[in-house]
Amino acid sequence: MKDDFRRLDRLLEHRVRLAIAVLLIRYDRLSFARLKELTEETDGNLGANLRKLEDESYITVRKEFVERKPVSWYSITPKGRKATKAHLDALSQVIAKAGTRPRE
Amino acid sequence: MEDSGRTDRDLDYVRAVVARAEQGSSPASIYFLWAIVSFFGYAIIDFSPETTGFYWMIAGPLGGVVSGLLGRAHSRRRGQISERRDVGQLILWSGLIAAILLLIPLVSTGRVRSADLPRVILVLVSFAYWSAGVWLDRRMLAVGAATAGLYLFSVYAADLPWVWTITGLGLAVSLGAAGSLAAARRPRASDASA
Repeated sequence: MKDDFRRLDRLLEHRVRLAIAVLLIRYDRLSFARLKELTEETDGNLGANLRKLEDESYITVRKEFVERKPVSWYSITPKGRKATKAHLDALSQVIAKAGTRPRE
Repeated sequence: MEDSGRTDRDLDYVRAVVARAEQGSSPASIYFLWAIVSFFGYAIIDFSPETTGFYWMIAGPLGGVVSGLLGRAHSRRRGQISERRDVGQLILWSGLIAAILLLIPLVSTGRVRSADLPRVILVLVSFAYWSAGVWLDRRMLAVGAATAGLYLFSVYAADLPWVWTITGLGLAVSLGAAGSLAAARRPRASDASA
């Protein structure tokens, strides 16, 4: 079980960052506004978490205009996709083993 | 030691976020477009049955192209783009068109009366909307069910005057209602800040 904990990704242990990564695996691109709507986070919190993911090259951002308004589009990188899947695998192992541990 | 309660809550949060993203993806404009196309497409059977095929040969593909453009624009405005979902839509509705075209030999060989063709198409359309409701947009489940009801109406009320106009109106109302629900949840355009 300790090995499973070590396999957990420190960056993705934060639920908002994990939610962002999972969303970006399911969808090709999401805007900042859409991520804010879905995660129900404030601009500041969301922005900080996105920057951390971007600093680790888990996600990329592209800025463009939609209907003359600036939009930041986020998408996951191959490194981010791989890290998220590994984290989810490790998490499911932790949960499965926690469920089979005898009660004390 | 990991707090398993916190892990469960975090995973519940992630599930809720993903569920929110999965909610109703088709824009109101597409529902309203097909409400109009369907109404005229079925009403025309009562007024000018010989032009029905010509109408659908034009309106069907044109409606499909316009729907694709509307859907794409909606995705960009909504801030959520999924090529996988776009391809899913294309495959589903292309499949419906293919299924309808496969009915032609039944009519041309006399195995099915041409007067019954609209009824058979209603069954296919009902199933297509139902499938779309299961995989793409829950609002279409109600449209699928309504279309099935309209098929039964067209069978048991076949001798009623203007049966196809009434059927078209029923389709338009069900699509319009779904579109109104979609319009009640409009997407936001841009970032508040980034």
